[in-house]
Amino acid sequence: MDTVRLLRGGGFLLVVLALWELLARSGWVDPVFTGSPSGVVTALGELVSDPEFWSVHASATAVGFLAGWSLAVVVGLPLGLFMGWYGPVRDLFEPLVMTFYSTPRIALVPLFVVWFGFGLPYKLVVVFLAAIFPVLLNMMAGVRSADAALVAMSRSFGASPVTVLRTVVLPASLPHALTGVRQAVAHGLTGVVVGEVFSAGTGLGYELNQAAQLFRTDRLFAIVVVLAVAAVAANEGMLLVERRLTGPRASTASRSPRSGSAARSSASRSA
Amino acid sequence: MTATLTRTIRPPATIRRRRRFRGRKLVLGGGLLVLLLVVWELAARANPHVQLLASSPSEVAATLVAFSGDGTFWSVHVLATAEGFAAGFVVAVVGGLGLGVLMGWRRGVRETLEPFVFVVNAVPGIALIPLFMVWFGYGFTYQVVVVASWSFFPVLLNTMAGVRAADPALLRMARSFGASTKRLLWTVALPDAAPLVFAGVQQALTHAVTGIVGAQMWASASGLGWVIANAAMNIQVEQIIAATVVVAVSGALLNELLGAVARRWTR
Repeated sequence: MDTVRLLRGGGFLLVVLALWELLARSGWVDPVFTGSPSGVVTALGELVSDPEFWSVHASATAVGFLAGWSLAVVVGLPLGLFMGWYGPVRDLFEPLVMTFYSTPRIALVPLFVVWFGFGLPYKLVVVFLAAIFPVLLNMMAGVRSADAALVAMSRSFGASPVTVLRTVVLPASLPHALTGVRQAVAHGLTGVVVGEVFSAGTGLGYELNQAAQLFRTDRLFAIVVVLAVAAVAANEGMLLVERRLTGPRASTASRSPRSGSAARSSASRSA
Repeated sequence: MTATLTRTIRPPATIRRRRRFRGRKLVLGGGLLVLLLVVWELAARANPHVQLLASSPSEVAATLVAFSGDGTFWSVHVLATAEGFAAGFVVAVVGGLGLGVLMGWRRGVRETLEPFVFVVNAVPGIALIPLFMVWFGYGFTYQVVVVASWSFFPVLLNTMAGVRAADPALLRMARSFGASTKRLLWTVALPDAAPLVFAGVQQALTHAVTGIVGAQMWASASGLGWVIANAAMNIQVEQIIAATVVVAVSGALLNELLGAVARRWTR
């Protein structure tokens, strides 16, 4: 069963790669434009063994991403909590949030270049705007998804609002919050590359751009591979954290205090 | 018994959480927006640096009025953006639906293509813009490819998931009543998948709008993305913001339209 699956899926990937290699070698297409799998592997080897690639470009991208993503988590989780929990706060901020959410933020990138130049503050803002919405909206939805009957019950047993929040609402919203934080990783990574592709002096996006302009297609694909691996690794890592903190069941109401504090620590850890 | 009990208890709890009066959001949320606009306007009038770097609401409004009365703005830029967007979006939706149904319905196809789809989907779309630029130049084809590649995967993945999630009991029953595969697909699997498919298409719409603006900002001779990039080079902030407003409003309208169609079809 699984062997068949492996053979089919893996086989197709190999066929695609083999065709690509053949096309590039046969001279039907110009390898300058298409690159070739063997060329990409060579370029990847050069790339990862180049210390400058790591110390200058990969680190610039990583720092830009981490700065913007952390800020998105630190702002998004509390704001989402308040907007989910207090009706007036939600009414106050929702139109503003939705206005920015429905704006294609890529259009604002040139504006940020004008405002911040192309250093770290610029990347931070671009990543922040890309990553804040999944965090904020998921957290808000999580808080609102808390079982109304449970909330009403704990209230009628005399629980203070803070207790209700800590023991009922936060545990219920934890899975949503973690999903939002994880989605923000993908959005943030795209954000940092967007920022760098459009305007930067360092970073993977900048390198990508250079490679395209110099027709170094193999190198371009190698950088794309690095980015894709980073994105998949980050996503899998976050999934692991998610499973660790929420357990196999979606509902964590029974283990409320512990998961509640976990939600807070996950917010403060990335600060 | 317990079922009736929870049923009688739940409504009051949900009613309690509902907003007390609907106008509050208008007053509070709208008030905050207006307040921010007023602060922006006043700051721009007080300080020429703010005016230069952030423009002002009145200037943006004036630019929007100038845009709407400008024939070339519509016949060149809006048209170029609409064409690239529509072509890329249609390619993505048709391709994603077709392949998604195929991959959801036939296990062999799914198992063959799934790893490939996973690998390609892991690539951040923006990373391929420079490559597509090299391959296709900066014309219409390039824009269509960028838009389609950005919006294809939500449709594909949601359609596949939707078709796979079709109720097996219903499928078995329809099959035992002699329904053909084609009929099963049209009467059971696709209607079951419709909500997920529409969610995917809606996501694709957002991606497509971002895609066309990004593609045109990066390299083009016309279009709203070009307007934005060109304005940025000349530090005409009011034009950046006004063009962004046009894109955002069009995107929101299309989204509403799609939502209305989805509600119609999935009811």
